[in-house]
Amino acid sequence: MIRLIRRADVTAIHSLISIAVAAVLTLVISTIVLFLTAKAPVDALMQLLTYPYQGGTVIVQWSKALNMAAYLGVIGLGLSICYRANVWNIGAEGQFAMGGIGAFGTWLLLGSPTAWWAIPCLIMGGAFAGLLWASIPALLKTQANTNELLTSLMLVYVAAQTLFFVSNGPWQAPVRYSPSQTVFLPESVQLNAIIPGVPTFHMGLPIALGLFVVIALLVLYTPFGYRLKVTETTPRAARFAGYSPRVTVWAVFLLSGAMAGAMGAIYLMGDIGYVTEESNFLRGFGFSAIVVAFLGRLHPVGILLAALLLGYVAGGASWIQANLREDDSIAGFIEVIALMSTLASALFLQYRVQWRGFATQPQENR
Amino acid sequence: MEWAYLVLTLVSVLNFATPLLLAATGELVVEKSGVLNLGVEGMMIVGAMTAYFVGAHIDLEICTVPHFSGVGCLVGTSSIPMERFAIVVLTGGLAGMALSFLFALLVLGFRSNQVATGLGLTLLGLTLTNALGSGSGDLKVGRVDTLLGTQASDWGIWGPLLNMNPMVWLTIILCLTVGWVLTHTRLGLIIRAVGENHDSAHTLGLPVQWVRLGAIVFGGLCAGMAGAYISMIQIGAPLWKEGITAGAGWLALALILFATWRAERVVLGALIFGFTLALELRLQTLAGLPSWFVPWLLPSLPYLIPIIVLTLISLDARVIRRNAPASLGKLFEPIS
Amino acid sequence: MLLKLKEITKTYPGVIANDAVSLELNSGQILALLGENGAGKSTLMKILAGLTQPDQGTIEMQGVDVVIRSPNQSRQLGIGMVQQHFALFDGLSVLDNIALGLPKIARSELRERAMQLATTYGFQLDLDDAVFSLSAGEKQRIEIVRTLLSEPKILILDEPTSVLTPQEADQLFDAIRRLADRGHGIIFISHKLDEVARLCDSAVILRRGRVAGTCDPRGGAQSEMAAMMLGSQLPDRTQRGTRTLGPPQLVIHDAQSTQGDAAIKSLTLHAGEILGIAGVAGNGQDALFALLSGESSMTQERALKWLDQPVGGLDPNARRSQLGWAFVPEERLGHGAVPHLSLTENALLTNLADPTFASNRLIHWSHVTQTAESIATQFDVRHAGLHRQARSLSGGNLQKFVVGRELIKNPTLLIINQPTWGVDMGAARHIRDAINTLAESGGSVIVISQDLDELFELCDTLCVINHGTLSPPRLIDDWTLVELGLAMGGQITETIS
Repeated sequence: MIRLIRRADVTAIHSLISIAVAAVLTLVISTIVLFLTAKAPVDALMQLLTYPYQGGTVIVQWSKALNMAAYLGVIGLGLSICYRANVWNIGAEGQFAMGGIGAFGTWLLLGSPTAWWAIPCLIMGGAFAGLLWASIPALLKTQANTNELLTSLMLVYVAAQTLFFVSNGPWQAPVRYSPSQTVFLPESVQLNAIIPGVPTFHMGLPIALGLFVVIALLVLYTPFGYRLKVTETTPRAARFAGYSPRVTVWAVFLLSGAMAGAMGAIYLMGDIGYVTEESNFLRGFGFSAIVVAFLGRLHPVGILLAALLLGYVAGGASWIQANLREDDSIAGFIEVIALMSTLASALFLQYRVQWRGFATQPQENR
Repeated sequence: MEWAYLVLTLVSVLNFATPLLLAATGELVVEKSGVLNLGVEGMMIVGAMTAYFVGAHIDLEICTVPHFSGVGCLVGTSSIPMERFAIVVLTGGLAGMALSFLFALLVLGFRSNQVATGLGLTLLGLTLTNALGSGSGDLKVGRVDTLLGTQASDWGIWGPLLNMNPMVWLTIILCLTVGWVLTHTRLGLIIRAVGENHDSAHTLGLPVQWVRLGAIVFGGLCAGMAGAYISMIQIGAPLWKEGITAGAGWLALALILFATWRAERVVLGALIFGFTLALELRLQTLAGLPSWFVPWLLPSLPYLIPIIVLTLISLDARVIRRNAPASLGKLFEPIS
Repeated sequence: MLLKLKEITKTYPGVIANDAVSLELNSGQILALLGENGAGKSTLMKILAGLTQPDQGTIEMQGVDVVIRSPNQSRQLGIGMVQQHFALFDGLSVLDNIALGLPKIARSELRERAMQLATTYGFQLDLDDAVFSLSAGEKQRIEIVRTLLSEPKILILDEPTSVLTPQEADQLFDAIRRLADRGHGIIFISHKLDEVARLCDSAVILRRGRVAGTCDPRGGAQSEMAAMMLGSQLPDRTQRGTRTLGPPQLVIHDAQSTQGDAAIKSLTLHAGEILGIAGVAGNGQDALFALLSGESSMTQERALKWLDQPVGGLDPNARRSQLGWAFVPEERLGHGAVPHLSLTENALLTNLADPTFASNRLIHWSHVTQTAESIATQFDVRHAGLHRQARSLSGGNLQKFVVGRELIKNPTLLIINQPTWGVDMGAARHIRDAINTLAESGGSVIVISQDLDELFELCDTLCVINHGTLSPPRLIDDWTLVELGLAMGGQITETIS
C-alpha cells in the first residue's frame, strides 16, 4: 500500500518539486482537453501559446493580458492574506462591485467634478466601499461566530443586485443605450490609455502594480506579514506572541475588501466608464482571483505569476475564438485544471510517498 | 382567505424548495461524515445540464413549434413520460456523482485543502457547463408528464398541488429517511462517529476513508439530481441556460448550517428558503413600500435571509459546537 | 495463573524501555504496576495491547505461550485495556459510544447487557446521555463498560484516576474489587502510592525500565514503594551552594483563572529565588502557565502583584515589555516556536513589543538576525543555518534556542514549563546552568517540571501542583521523600511552620 509520511522539514526544494508536478499535470491535462474540444487542436495550441506574436498586434494583445492580470493579481493578493489567516473571504466579487458603485457614488457626491483630482478620490471611495462591504462578514464573524464563507458569498449576490438597482433606478442615465446604465464618467475622470490606441493599457495598470508592490512588501517584510506567518499555522504561538485573533480577522477582511474595492473603482474608470448591471459589469475577477491566490500558493510572487498566466491564457482563448473560430472556454478549463493540479501536488510538499508492497501487515507502533 | 391562492403559494414554495432540499440532503450526509464539500453548486449545474441533454434525446418525437435560440424548446408538443424522466434524473445524478469522485480523490487521496478543492469543483462545474452547454440552442426537449395530466382540473384547487412532480414528495421522504438512517441504524452511527472524531473512529477500527468516500458520492448523486429538477421541472418546461442554478448550491449549504445538521430542520429550512424565493415573485405587486426599495430588496432577500438566519443560529456558539460534526473540514491523518 | 511475562525486553534507539521485566498475574488478583514517567509502563502495556512486539522474552497466558500481533488479537486473547486517552465521541450518546466499540449487536440487547454490567459493578450509567456533558469519571466508565462487554479475562487500567475526583476514584475501586471477586485479573497502572495501598494486593515497581522491586502494598508500605520508585534517596544537593535571596518581588494571593482550570492560593517569590512546581503530567500545568503568562485571563487583577503593583490584567506582551518577564512553554513546536519559520524569524516571536526589534511599520531584521546569532552562540545551539526551519532542529537544540531567546533578555522573572523534557543530557545541563546563572544575577525563576532530580538540583523552594491547584511552597530541604510522593499523588500535607 502507499504510505504517506509527513515531512519533518519542508525546504525550497520540496516546494519546487510540487510546483513542477503541478505545472506538468496542468500542461498535460490541458493539452488533452484542447485536443478533445478544439476543431484544429494543433493549430489552437500553437496560437494559444504564441498569440501576441501572430498578426501585428503584439502590444494590444499583451496589454489585454496585463490588464486582466492586474485585476487578478491585486484582488488575489488581498484574498491570499485572508486565506493565510484562515479567514475564508470568497466575496471579493461583491467587494469589487461595491468598489465600482462606491467610486461612482463618490463622484456624484463630489458634485460630478471633471478635474483630475477626482481620480484619486474615486479610487479611495471605491476602496472604502469595498472595505465597508467586507466589514459585514467580519463583524458577523467576530461578534456572532457566523461562518464568513457563506456570508461573504451571499453578499456577492446582494452586491450584484445593487449594481442592477443603482443603474436602473436612482442613477439611471436619462440618455442611454440600455435600461440599466448610468451616465458615462467624463473623459477627464477616466483612466486614460498610456499608449495611444491601446485602451486596455491605461493608468490603472501602473496604479495596480504600485498597489500590488506595496501590499506585497507589507506581507513580506512588515510586522503584519509576520503576524500572518505565525497565525497561519500555529494559532497557539500567535496568542503566545501577543496577537489577538479578532484583530486579525478584522485586519484581513478590511484590507482585502479595500483592495478589491479599489480595483472595482479602477475598472469603472479605466475599462468600462459607467455602472451597469452585473452581467456587463462583472467579469468574474473576484472568483478567478480566488483561484489565483491558491495557484500562487498564497505567496505574492506566486500570485503575480499566476495572475500573469491566467491573463495570458484568457487573452489567448479569446484570440483563438476570434481568429480560429474555436471556443474560448479553454481559458476556464486551464484555470480549473491548474487549480486542481496545484491542490493535488501540494501533497508532495507536505508528505513523503512510500510504496510498501501489497501485503497488509500490522504496523509497528512507536 | 383565498384557499386557491394559498395552494398556489404552497406549490411555488415546494417548487423552489425541492432542489435545495435534495442537494442539502446529500451534503448533510457528507458533512455528517466530517467532510465539507463546497462543490455542491458545481455538481448541481452539471446535473442540470446533463439531464437536459439526456432529456433532449430520451424521446424520439420532435418539437414542432419554432423556438428561440439559446433557450430550449419552450412550447413542445412532445412530452417525457415518467419512466423516462426517471432515467433523465438519474443521469443527472450520475453526472454529479462523477464530479464528486474527483473531489473525493483530491480530498481523501491527496489530502488537499477541502475548502479550496470544493471551490475548484464548483468552478469546474460552471466551466464545463458553460463550455458544453453553449450549443443548446438547437435542442428540443419535451415537457415532463405530470401526474394528473389533463385531469388536473378535476381536482379543483388541489389540482396544482397534486399535479406536482413526484420528485417533490420523494425528496421530502428521502430527507426524512436519511435522518432516520443517521440516527437509528449502525451505518448512520458509524457515519456520525467518523464525523465526530475521526481519530477515535480510527482507533476503534472503523473505515474512515471508505465511509467518507461513500458519503461524498451520495452527496454528488443528490446534488446532480437536484440540478436535474431545476433544469427539467422548476420553470415549468425544460430550460437550460448558463448559471441556471443561480446559487442554489450555496443556499443548500447555508441550509444545512441553519438546520444545525438535523434532517427534520433541513426540511423545514428548505421550506423557509423556498418561501423566500417564491416571495420574490409574489411580492412584486405589493404596494406601500418606497418604489426604489422594493426592486432592490426583493431579489436580494433570498440571499439576505440566509445571512440573518445564520447569524442568529451562530450567536450561541454552543449550539453550533454541540450539533456540528466535530471533525468537519479537518484533515484526517491516520497514525497507524 | 492468567498471565506470565518472562524477561520482556524492548529497546528503542538510544533507550531501553523494558529491561528483562517479569511479572505474574493470577485470577482475582489486583496487581499494581508502579513507576514514574518514563519508567517503562506504557511500553509494557503497548506490548500487551498488541501494538508492538518485545525484542526478547515470552508471554504466557493460562499456561500457553502467545505472541500478540495486533490489537484485535489482544482482544481475542482476552486482554481488555482501558486507556488514559479515551476513544470516545463527544457528540454521541453513551449507548452509541459503547455500540461503536463492539461488533454489530441489536440495540435492545446491548442496552440490556450494558445496564446489567453497570448494576453488577455499581456504575451509574445513563445510556442516553450525550458524552460531552459527562465528567471524566463518567466517560471512563463508558470505556470500562465497553471493554467489559467483550468479556476479557484480564483488565488493564492505565492511570485511571488521573482524571477522577476522589469520590469517583472510590467508586472505581469498588468496581475493580467486584471485578476481581468475579475472577478477572486486574493490572492497575499508577504512580499514586496511596491509591495502590488501598486497592491492590500486589505491586511491581518499575524504574528506568527494570523491575525495581515487588511488594504487598496492603498495610501501607508507602515509603518503601516511594523509595523504589524514586530511587533510594533524594538527589544529592551538596554541590549547590546556598544562595541569598533578595526582597520579595512576586506576590500571588487567591489567583484564579476565569476558566476555572488553574488556582494559586498563595505564593511569594523573591529576587534570585528559583521556585519549583512538581507534578505529574496532566495536573493543570498548562493552565497554570497560561495564567502566569497572561495568555489566559484571571478573575482578580489584584491577585497577581509585581513589586506591589497589580498586574493580573496585563497580556503576555505587556508583561514582557513593562515587567521584564519571559516565558518558555512546554510545547516547543506549536507554542514556543513556529515550526516552519526559520530560527531567525522565531527569534522575533517573543520580542514583538520591543521597539529595537520591530517598530510600527518595519521589522529590523538585522537586529533580529544578530540576536538569533547571539542566542545560538551563547547557548550552544547546533544548527545547520539560522535560515533553516525551526522544526529541523533536534529537540535539545530547539529547547536551548527557545530558552536562550528568553534568557538573553535577562528577564526579571522567568517562567518555564518542563525545561528539559526530551532533551539530551548535555543540552539539559546547559539549560539548567543558564537558569542558575539567571537566579544568581538576581532574576526570579519559576520552574514547572515532572523531573524531580532537576527540581532538586535547581530550586530553592518547591511546591506541588495537583488538579490545577498549588500546594503551599516549602524550602526544598524541608521536603521529605514520602511527603513529596504523596503530595504528587494527591495528598497535600500542611506545613508546620
